[in-house]
Amino acid sequence: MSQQQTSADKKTEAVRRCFAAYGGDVSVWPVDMREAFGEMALSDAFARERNEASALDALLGASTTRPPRHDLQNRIIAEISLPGAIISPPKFGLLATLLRPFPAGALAGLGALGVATGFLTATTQFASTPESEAYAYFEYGDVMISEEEVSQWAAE
Amino acid sequence: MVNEQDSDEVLVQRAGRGDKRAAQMLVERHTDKIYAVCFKMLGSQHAAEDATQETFLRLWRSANKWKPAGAKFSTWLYRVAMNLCLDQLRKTKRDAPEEAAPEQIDHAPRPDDTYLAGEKRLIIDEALSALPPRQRLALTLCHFQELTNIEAAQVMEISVDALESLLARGRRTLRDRLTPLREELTGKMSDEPTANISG
Repeated sequence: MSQQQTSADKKTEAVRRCFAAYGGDVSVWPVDMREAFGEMALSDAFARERNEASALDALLGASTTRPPRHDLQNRIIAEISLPGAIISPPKFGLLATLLRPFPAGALAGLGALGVATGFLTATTQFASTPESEAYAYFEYGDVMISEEEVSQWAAE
Repeated sequence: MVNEQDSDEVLVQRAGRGDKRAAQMLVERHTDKIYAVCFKMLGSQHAAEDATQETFLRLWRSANKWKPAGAKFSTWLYRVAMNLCLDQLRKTKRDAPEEAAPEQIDHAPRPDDTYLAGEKRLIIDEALSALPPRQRLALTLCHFQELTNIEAAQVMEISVDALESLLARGRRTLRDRLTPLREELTGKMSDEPTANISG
């Protein structure tokens, strides 16, 4: 008698634990719990526990997740860098050996050298239309333009 | 050549050998689920996106070392995301002044929100975000992500009993916090369209 009571108490306790942990919908309980206690859990004896747990489930159901921005997947895909897919960098022999100890500094130095060389060696070129030539002369200011010439341009 | 029927485990092994298409399929399969867990844990769209991206970056870094012998691939991926979120929460707590709220929930309204539905969602999300992180994680995995209790316990690296304890404590706290509002909320919501539930 007392053993039977103990077993019943244990079952009752187990059903209460399931409602407390997994909620009021017995169909989503873990399979073993559902098989062991499902029938008992649906009886009137547990109506209060079932209703309370279901009410909380319903409230939780109103919680939503703000969706990610639509490009999240694409951003992740763009960042895929797999160890096996690493392409070895091209070899530059002596230059690579020289630059290896300070790659960032060397890169910055080479960049600066390129910009400086560009400035020093560049020659100013203008499109060869009469109008652009005129503006160029205006800009550099060492050509005087007479009123006649202006009238002539206007006539053209 | 990968195909849609390949298991995650096959795909991650292929990705580990440099197969970009396999990696892409893993992203397509798991991004939404990982993002949803991160959002529930961190409460902000921006932080959740960052954590999701970082989860995949860690995957690419260790894809060639992944062994199918242990847990399922999805369990492993959830675990990486979980650890990133818990780290982030610890960092936020450490950096925040003591009186500040532990997390800021992203309350930007959704286009389908009516005022009252949005209000209800806000109260519930705040109650969820106020739970201790491990209780919130247990609820997120079991209730919102619908993982089995065994899978959720594996993700969290705890026993099923410990998981049940976290779930029960989390639900009890939520019930206590939300019960005074339940009638009011239910009354207010009776004419409102219910927001889609899902995590």
